[in-house]
This record gives sequence, C-alpha cells and structure tokens, in this order.
Amino acid sequence: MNRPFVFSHAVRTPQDYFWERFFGILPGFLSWAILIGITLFSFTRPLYAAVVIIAIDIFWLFRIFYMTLFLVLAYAVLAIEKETDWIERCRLLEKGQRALSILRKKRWLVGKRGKIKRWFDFKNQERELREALRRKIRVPSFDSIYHVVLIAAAREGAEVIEPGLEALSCSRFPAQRILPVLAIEERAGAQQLEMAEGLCRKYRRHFFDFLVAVHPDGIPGEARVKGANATCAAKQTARFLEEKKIPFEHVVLSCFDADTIPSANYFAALTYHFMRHPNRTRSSFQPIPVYHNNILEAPAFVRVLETGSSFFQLVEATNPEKLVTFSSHSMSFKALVEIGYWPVDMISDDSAIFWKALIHYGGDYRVVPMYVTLSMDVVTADSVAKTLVSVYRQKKRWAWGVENFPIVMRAFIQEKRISFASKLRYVIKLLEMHISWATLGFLMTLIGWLPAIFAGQEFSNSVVYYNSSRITGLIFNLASTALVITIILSHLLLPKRKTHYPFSKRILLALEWLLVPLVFTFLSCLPALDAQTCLMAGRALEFRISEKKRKKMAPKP
Amino acid sequence: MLLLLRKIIFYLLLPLYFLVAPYAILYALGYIFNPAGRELFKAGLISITTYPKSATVFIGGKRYSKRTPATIRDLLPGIYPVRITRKGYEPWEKEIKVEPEKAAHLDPVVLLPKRPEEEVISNQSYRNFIPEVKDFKIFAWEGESLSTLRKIDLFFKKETLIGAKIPDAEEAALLDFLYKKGSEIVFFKVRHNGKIKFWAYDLNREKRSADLSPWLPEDFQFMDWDSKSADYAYALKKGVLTAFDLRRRNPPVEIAQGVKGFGVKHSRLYILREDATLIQTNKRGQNPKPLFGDTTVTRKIFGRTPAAFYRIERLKGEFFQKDLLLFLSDRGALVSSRLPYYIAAAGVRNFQHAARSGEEKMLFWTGRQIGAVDFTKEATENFFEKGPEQHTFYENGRDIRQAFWACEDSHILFVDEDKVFLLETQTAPYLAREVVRIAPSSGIIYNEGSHTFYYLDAVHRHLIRRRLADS
Repeated sequence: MNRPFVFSHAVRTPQDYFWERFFGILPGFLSWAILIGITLFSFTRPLYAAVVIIAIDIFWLFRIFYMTLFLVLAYAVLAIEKETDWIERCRLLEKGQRALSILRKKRWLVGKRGKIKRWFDFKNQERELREALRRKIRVPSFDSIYHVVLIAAAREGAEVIEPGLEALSCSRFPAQRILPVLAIEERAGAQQLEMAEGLCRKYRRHFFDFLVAVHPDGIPGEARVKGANATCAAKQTARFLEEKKIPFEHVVLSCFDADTIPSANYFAALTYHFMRHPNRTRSSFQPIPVYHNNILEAPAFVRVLETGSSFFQLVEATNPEKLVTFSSHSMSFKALVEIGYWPVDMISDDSAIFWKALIHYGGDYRVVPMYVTLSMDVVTADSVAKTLVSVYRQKKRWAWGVENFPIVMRAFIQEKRISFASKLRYVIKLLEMHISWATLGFLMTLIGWLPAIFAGQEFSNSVVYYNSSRITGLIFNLASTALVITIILSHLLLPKRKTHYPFSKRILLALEWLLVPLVFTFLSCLPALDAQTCLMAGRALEFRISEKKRKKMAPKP
Repeated sequence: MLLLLRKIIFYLLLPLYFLVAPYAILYALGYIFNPAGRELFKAGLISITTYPKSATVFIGGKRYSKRTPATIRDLLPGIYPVRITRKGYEPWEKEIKVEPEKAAHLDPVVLLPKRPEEEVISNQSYRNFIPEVKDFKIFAWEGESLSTLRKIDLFFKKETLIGAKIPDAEEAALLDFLYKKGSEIVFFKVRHNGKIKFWAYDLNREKRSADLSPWLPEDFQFMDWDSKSADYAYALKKGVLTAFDLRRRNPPVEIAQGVKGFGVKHSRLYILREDATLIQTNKRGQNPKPLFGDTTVTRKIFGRTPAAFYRIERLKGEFFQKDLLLFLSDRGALVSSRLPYYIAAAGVRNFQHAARSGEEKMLFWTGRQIGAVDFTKEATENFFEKGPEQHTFYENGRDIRQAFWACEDSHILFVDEDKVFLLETQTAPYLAREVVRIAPSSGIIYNEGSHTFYYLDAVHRHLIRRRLADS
C-alpha cells in the first residue's frame, strides 16, 4: 500500500467513494436480487424456481448437519474445558518440558478412575504443550500478565454494571492484576459520573486499580458510538500503563458491554491462551457469548433467538481461520495501540476492530476461539410488543456489521501484503454470511412454497410439482433431527437454577423451538435485509442502546 | 484438531452435495433410470384421491402398497389400467394415459356404494318439489292442486301442509313453477277458475305475496327477478320489459321498449336492446349506463344467432378479470361476453357455474349433451387466438333436465329422463355411471356441502335423501 489505509467510511478520493458505494450496494443488491428473482420465477417459470429451491434446500440440509455436528463437538469441548483448572495449566505451561511427564501421570490417574472429561482435558493440554515446545514459543511468565477490562457504559446504572465487577473480583485469576476501566459518556450527565465514582470507590481495593474514563461529547470526526467511548478510555489506559511501566505486550484488553458477566474461569483461560499463542500480540481472543443473565425471564422468541446466536458462535469457534470477533471479546493491548484503537465512526466496533487489525498487519492477524463463556443480558422491555421492537433493532445493529464490507473491499484492493487466496476466502465468507443471513429465512419459510401455492395448471399438472414438495418435505424432516439436537443442547446450555423446573416448564422450553421458522425469518433475516437496504441507500444507522431489564439480580458466576 | 476435522468433513460433503443435488433435481423433474434399457426416462405419475379414502389401488394388475390418497410415481410413459376397490363399494376401473413429466389427476374418484346410504325423508307420495333446500326445508306437493303444497322440515323431521293456507289454492291446479336458485320467491303457474294465473309465493313467510295475473300476459316470453331480493319481478313480451312491484303491489311499470333480452342480479338490471346496445340500470330501470361501447361487435355477435329474446346472467370474474356476461337465447344459443363469444349454437337448456372453482367455470347442457367452459383457463390447442378451455363431456343423453357440479367440481351429477348419473370430468374417457332411477317428471336437489341429493323414488314417489360420496 502506498499510504496507510484508514479504516473508516470517510473517503478522501472520488475513486474511494466509488468503491465505497459500489461495495456498499453489493450485498443488499444480491440479497434483493435473490429474493425478487426467485419470487418472480415462482410465478413466471415455476419449474426453474422449484429446481433452484431444491438446490438451496439440499445445500442448507448439508449445512445444517455440518453445523450441528460441530455444534455438538464444540459443546463437548465447552463442557470439558468448563472444569479445567486454567491457572494450573498456565503454571504447567511455564514449566515447559518438565510438565509433560506431570500431565501424562495425571492423565493416567484420571483414566484409571474413569473420568473421561478430565482425561480428554489432560490429553488436549499435553498436545498443546507439545506444540508449544515444538514451535519453541517463548512463554511469558504467568505473573507478568495483566488484564485491562474496559467496560463501556452509555446510560446503564450500577445495577447493570456491578454484577460484572463482582464477577471480576471473584475471578480465579488474581484480581490484583486486573484493571477495570469504566468508560462513561459525558453526555450521560453528572449522575452517571457519580455512579461510576461510587463503583470505583467500592471496588478499587479488590483490583490493581480502577479507572473511570469520561468520554467528552462532540469531538469532531466522531459518531455517537461505543467505539469512540472505548477508544477514549483505552488511550487513557495506555497513559496509565506507561506511568506504571507495564509493557503493553504483557497486557490483554477485554472490551465488555455494561451487562457482561465473565465466568470465573474467563481470565485464567484467557491468560493461558495468551501465553501459549506464538503470535499473541497479533491476536484477538473470542469467548462464547451466552445470554444467561435474564434469559429465563425473557419471552420465548427472545430465548430461542439468543440461544441460536450462542450456538452460532460455538460453531464459528470450530473454524478459527475464518473467525471474526463478535460482541465482548479480548485482544492484545499492544495490537490495539498499534492499529490505532477502534474506529470512532462505526457502530459495529466489535467486528471492525478485527478487520482493522487484519488490514494493518497485512493479513497477519487471527482470532483465537476460547471455549469459555461470557454472560450478557437479552433484550427485554416492559411489554412483548416493545421487546419485539427492541430485539428487531438490536438484530439490525448486529447485521450492520455489513458496513465493514465496503471498507474491507477497498482495503483489499489496495493491500498487496495479503495473498489473493486469503482475500478471496474472507470476501466469500463475508458476502456469503450476510447474504445467507438476509435471505435464507425468507427462502425456506415463504418463497420456497410459492411455486406450489401459485402454480398455474401447467405446473400443478407436472411431476415436478409433486416431487419437489416431497423432496422439500423430506429435507424438512431430516432437518428436524438437527432441531432435536439443538433443543437438547439448549437445555444443557441454559443456566442451572437452584429451583427445580417442573416437567411442564421443560416441555414448554422445548416446544418454543418450534418458533424457529418465524423467529429466524422476522427477527433475524428481516433485520439483516433492512440493514443491507440501509447500506444500499447510503443511510447511516443510528446507535441505540438496547433496552434490557432484569427482574432479578444476574446469577453469580 | 477440530479445524482439521472441519476441513475433512467439508471436503467430504462438498462432492457429496454435487452428487446428491443433481440427483434430487433429476428425480424432481421426473427422470428415472430404467435398468432394463439402461437409459434415463422422463417418468410421469398418477395422483389419486378417492371418496371415501383408504381405497386400494391396482396399477396394471399390481397392487400399490399405499392406500388412497396416493401418488404413484416413477411410471414410464404409457397406458395403465387403473382399478380402485374398497370394501362395500363398486370397483372403479379406467385406463389412464401417463405422459412424460406430467401428472395424471384422479382427484377425486367417487366410489359408489354397493348398498347406498339412503334415508326416507317422507312416506308421502309427491308429484314434485322446489329444487332447493331452503333453511333445511323442502317444499313439495302431492297432487295437482296447489293446496297439497307441503313443507318438509329436515331438521325437525316434520311435514306441514301449507298449501291449504294459500287463498284459493283449493281450486288452483298447479301447472308449472318458476324458481331461481337462492331466491325466496317461487312463481306458481296455476289454472284457477278456468284462467291461467301467476302467483308469487314467499317461501320464507309461507304465504302468497302477489298475484301477477291481472298484469302479466299469459304469453310473456321470459320472466326474471333478483334472487337476493323479492321486491321486483320483470317480464318481457315482444320487446317490452315490465317491472312488477311485489311488495307494494303497485301497478306494473313499463321499464323499456325495444328489449331483446334482460337479466337481473344484485339489484341491477341488464338490458340488451334490439339495436344490440347493452345497458345497466337500477332495479327500477333508472340511471342507464352503457356497458358495451362498440355496437358493431355486439351486432355481429347477436346478429349471427336468430333469437326472439335472451336471458342474461352476470357471473363474477376471477381476480382482476372483469365480470362475465352470458346470454341464453330462446332457441338455446349460448353466447358469452368473452372470446370466443359463441359457446353453443342452439339447444342449450340451461347452465350452471361451479360452486368451488369460481363462477367462471361453467357447465351447460342440451337435451343430449353436457359441456363445460372454463374461462379461467386458456385453451392450448388454439393457435391464432387464445380462448377459454371448452369440453364436451357427454353426448349420449336423451332428455337431460338438470346438471350440477359435484365433488369439488370434479364431477357432474345430472338427470337424464328418469335416471341420475354421475359423470367424471377430469381425464378422458369421461365415464358416466348410473346412480339411481327417480320418479318420472321429477328432478333432484343436490347439496354440494354434504354431497347428498334428494329425489322422489321411482316406485312410491317418496322423498329420499341419498349420500353421493363419503369425503
């Protein structure tokens, strides 16, 4: 590249503007073309439409089985690593070669006692240690690692933020090397500052320190987005770390939402992954987001939707080569500083930071999946109707990650360090993901049935009319086995309560998965299509804070 | 390791998809592999539903594993003898032609019971009845006198003599009656004191509502009224259209002159003039609105078929289509407002639109033939012009008096002389099976909702209800 690429929608040259608009229009155009094309075909050429729909249905059947298989495997890893003693792992990693014999012995002992999970855990650890030794990774000392936890709050009160801080203080990782940074907005008012300072006073003694960063309002070039707030706080943190002479390469930053509650193992696991990674300062670390803070209080459709999101992340975790950061996650603080922090004019800061880092380092940047959970709130409001609206807006904001596409494409055009094959892989993944997101629900639940519903006499007298509906029925039956597996896993994943669920409640929880077609179409696909259409039209999305309510305090980790 | 596994499975599934998807698409298109000839064939299929369900299907002598409703797939093109049997029902047989990529529909096949389910509604001997069940009531008469008119309540299973309450009914000999489906009025033509009279009888109130005799000429050509409202009746004689106020019993009013034909529906009067203009007015003949702008077309149409008068019927158009107008002349010429205009040249006795498929699907009959026109479908044989699909289903009639669409418009139930037949209309050849013999000079009442019909038995002229099909 001749000049450093600026990861932003703000373009400087007419050529950049052209490509920005072209690639901004492309995803939406393709989505609409698919939907309208197949709809029109259903009326004018129902035979061709039926053939295309069969091909799409079979594709998705294969994909569902593929994803379900890896969902089960990922869940198995999650279940195994839930009981992992990560601190011990870090210590063993420091020991290097000497740790191998310890691990072999432990593995033999647990194998003898029939503890399969632990056996796999030790086996896995042994494998990772061998790899680290083989690659001669210079493992930093466990005691030299610090964690910065940046909590971005817009207007959330202490009742939302405090459980997260409580969880941090109870973390298995030594809290004395955790630095919470509460990033608040100036425009939220004095009450917000007072709340932040109150939390600071209450929790400072538990941690290394506690920073409150106030993001000034109205800075030119910034939009009212979380990224701008987080960037301001991160810069303040950088100055603090410099004062304390803590090297950035030993610091891991975790950027959390106000309602994020990390599991007790989170930072220990994060430290381990950070220590063992050969390229730790060019990596992000992606946990599995779950929405357990208030999921059981939410309406059924919200529960189905958010569990589906968690499952999607679980499946994505099995393919680290194409993993992109999402929601609350962690990364090397050094990398954050080098790439220039988050974009300050983009809503989708969680995914944008990955692309920015990827482009900055010429493709030498990866996301490391971690099979540990971060719990957040689901969107709920006072009424079902308001909840529907809030959920829709949240999903639209998630789908607004498509705003990265034109920027990434412009960068790829200029960037010579990234191989063509890598670029192609990323582009296909991005485009396929967003187009599938916006179209699949409509194709499977609505448009797919149009040839049969509006079949003229000629088509309804054809063999295709009968056979295609038979094939579609068979595909749906086969896909329902995947649904059964999903229902079982959703039950296993739900937070365990001390109160016993009656059988009727469990049946209802299972039956709500029958909402999948409706929920998927109208609360996932439709917002995605909406977001892509806004991008096509060149309209910026307004950042809104999702309404989240908890009837009870979030469960302790 | 998961990553490695993912790659392995991906590269296994990818070629598998490119094997399975084309196979599924070929199967969907009807391609099958014929091991005998080692070649790909385009197969056809036969879709069968029956009334009643769970019938056994034999294709070419071989029993099909699944009972009806069934779809027999993967059939090589050709002619297949199909036999359908069910315990307690007459077997049904037909040769069906299977074409490549096409589905032959037998939907539904009505199996006739060996012992039909019949119920004797009344042990009285009747001469005839009004051909419609009105609010669970049938109106029938026993003898020549109008005073023998009875009301048979099907719900409470009660018969009431109502004719005696009609003034002067005792001396009135019933000659004929005029009835329109859905109407609350019936017109009885009686001979009373040596004179021919026309009495309007309100079936809801069960009383004589008007005597049109003072004004209605005996030799009027045609009479019509709105079946939905009983306030006006209209009669045509030698080009003069007269309206009769049945409620207020005012003297009749001359609506128009130079009238060639008319019809009335939903409080609108449609008048075809002798100069071939067609207008629409309100029920009093006011506020005329022309319907056809170009009289050169209508002159050609109506000039071709000599007729004294036309009966006009307006049928509801499907979706965005305009409504359809039908013209039935005194000589039985049937003309429509849509191409190809002429449906039959002469002899048509009546027509009836489908109940389920919409009013644009219509059957008509002469004394010998039964045919149907479907204005919603375009005939594929026409090369230069597209017109509606037209079929002749039956040509062996002697005196076809009534015909009804039956079993979701898949069959036609008709009365020929004193026999009732059930005619299939889906696949040629169109089989007509005799269902029952009825009393001479009587008709039937068919109820599509319950697939039952009422008739007078041939021997005792008792009113019988019979189930046509078990759906």
